Amino acid sequence: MTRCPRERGDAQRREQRMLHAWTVEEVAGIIGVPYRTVRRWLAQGLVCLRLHKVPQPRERLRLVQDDVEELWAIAALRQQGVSMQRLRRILVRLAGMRLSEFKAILVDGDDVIGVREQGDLPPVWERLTDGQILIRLETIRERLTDSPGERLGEAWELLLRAEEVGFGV
Amino acid sequence: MESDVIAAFRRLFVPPGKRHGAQDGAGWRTVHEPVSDDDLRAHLQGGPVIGVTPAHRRGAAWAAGFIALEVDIATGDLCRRDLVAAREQVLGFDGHRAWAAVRAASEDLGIPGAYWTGAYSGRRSLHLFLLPENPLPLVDAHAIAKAIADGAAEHGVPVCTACPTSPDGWGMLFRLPWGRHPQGAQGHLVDLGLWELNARPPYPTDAQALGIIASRRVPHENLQGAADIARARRSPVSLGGVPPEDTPKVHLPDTDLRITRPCIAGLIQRGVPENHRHEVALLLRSELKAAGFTVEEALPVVARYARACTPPWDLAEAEYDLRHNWADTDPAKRHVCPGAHGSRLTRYLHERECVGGARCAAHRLGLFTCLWGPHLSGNAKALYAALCTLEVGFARRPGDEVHTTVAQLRDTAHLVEYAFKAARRELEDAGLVTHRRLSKGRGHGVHSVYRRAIPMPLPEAGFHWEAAAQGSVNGARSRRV
Repeated sequence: MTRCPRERGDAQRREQRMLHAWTVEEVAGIIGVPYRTVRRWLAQGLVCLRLHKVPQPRERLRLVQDDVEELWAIAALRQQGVSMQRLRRILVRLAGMRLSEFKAILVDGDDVIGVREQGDLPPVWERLTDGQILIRLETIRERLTDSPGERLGEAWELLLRAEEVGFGV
Repeated sequence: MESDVIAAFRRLFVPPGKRHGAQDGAGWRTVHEPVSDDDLRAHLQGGPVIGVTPAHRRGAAWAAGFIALEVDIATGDLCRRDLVAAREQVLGFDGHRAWAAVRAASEDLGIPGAYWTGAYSGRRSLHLFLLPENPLPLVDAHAIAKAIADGAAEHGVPVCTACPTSPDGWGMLFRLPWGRHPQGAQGHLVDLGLWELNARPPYPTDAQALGIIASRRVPHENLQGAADIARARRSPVSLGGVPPEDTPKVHLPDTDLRITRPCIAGLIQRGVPENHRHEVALLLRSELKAAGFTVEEALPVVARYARACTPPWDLAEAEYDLRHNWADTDPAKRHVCPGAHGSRLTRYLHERECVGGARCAAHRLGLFTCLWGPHLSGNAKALYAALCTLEVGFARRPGDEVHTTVAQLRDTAHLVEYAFKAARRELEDAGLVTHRRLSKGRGHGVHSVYRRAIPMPLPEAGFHWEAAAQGSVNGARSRRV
């Protein structure tokens, strides 16, 4: 049976809204960092995983898009030679932001600036001054679309919502 | 003359009091004035219905002007569909059965059945009055009413209101006979026969019935003897403080977390209008009791609810209502969702406070993630979330049984078989979930009944870290060994 374009669009939107998750191995491959490095970052608590606030021993971890984007930002910063001490300071700033709202983030010293719409502004990277780092979140999102990971059921979505929002849901 | 009838009606049914209730299309409201002749005239002529409490001050003591029982015979649904059929049911076999049970209980106390006066409420209930010759001490009247209600319950007839509802002046109002029910028909008196109930004509045709009722007043000695028998029989009633032995003690940091239903949380936050506050207080009590609250813990919650009501409910009265009824509150009477086909109150609550399945499930999960989030694996948490989802999907209350299959649970929680079993074991070891198989065999189609433990057990100290030190798969599994 052929679906009409509108139905196809609806199905596509539903598919996009559905919660997807990736394993640590998959994430390591996507962001281009060795698996053990990602495990170390997680063990050090650089990223607080949405679905596993306190990972249990030998538990199979599921990382959602927000987790992957944070790891992508860490990887990008480390690639630019940012020290772990400075990285931790930056992550404190980053923790208060919802990365999904931004197309890119600009790191200036210890400050973090979210860039919402690149189209409205002259390209940010043309105005970068010394020491400023631009992390393009669009890149990782494209990669995640190419390898969509595991589709989780409604229970996981509910759990994520309860974990994120806390009691006042 | 009408004024004579009103005076006779007042002498029989209206004790002196500073306030009364009036019910119209919008529900009950309290009128802070004594019942006037105009009020009674309006009541008899089909206007707002008057409700009075039998309790009144007599010197330093409280006295009762009457004893009254209300037995709901027909269902609310039947009343909505067919009021004539509901009336026939009240005056037919079911009504007579209720009367026979009350009569038997009354005769056990030494009060002959001939002293009783019956009335049809105009909707679903049969009202039964016992009018003393002289005002009776309120404590005695309460003991008699409660003993008769208990006796009727032993005969299989639940009495929904036994007035006076308290021995010390608080309590519910009782609808006077001969009024017109705002959601029903004209009420009238009923002859309580040995073999059947006979409807009497409505007011004013039946005005001479007041003379018959006046001749049926109960002598003081009869009631005094009945009160003695009732007191001797009555088991001590716990007024709270000591929780039932089978209720595990739960001490949690925040009481709000323990109310895991958004509709109930909404009630506490927003209150209800005056005409609903007593019945909603019952729902609230049963919910709090089911969630493991003690009376002392429930008190601040009920106080918040009382303050939020419109107009605010007197805190002393709300506290009395809580303490006095706590022991008798049955958690099984909690609000059942959805209320599309439920009682009037259930529908009211559903329309006003329901937030939808997804939010309700998330709310139910809130306490779990707060308490157990750091102690369980993601799979176990997902399985628990799946149970919450199914609970809401099947319109079950927190802690009700959920009938499901392995396939359905695994699908909702998105777990493979090994992970599913490990997660289930983890939850069972933590005492959070119990399950029982209903069918034999293996595989996806095995039918089982799952139940979440409510009140929720608390994680033990060192639950996770001890296990982690032993290198087990997760905290909970190591406890099996």
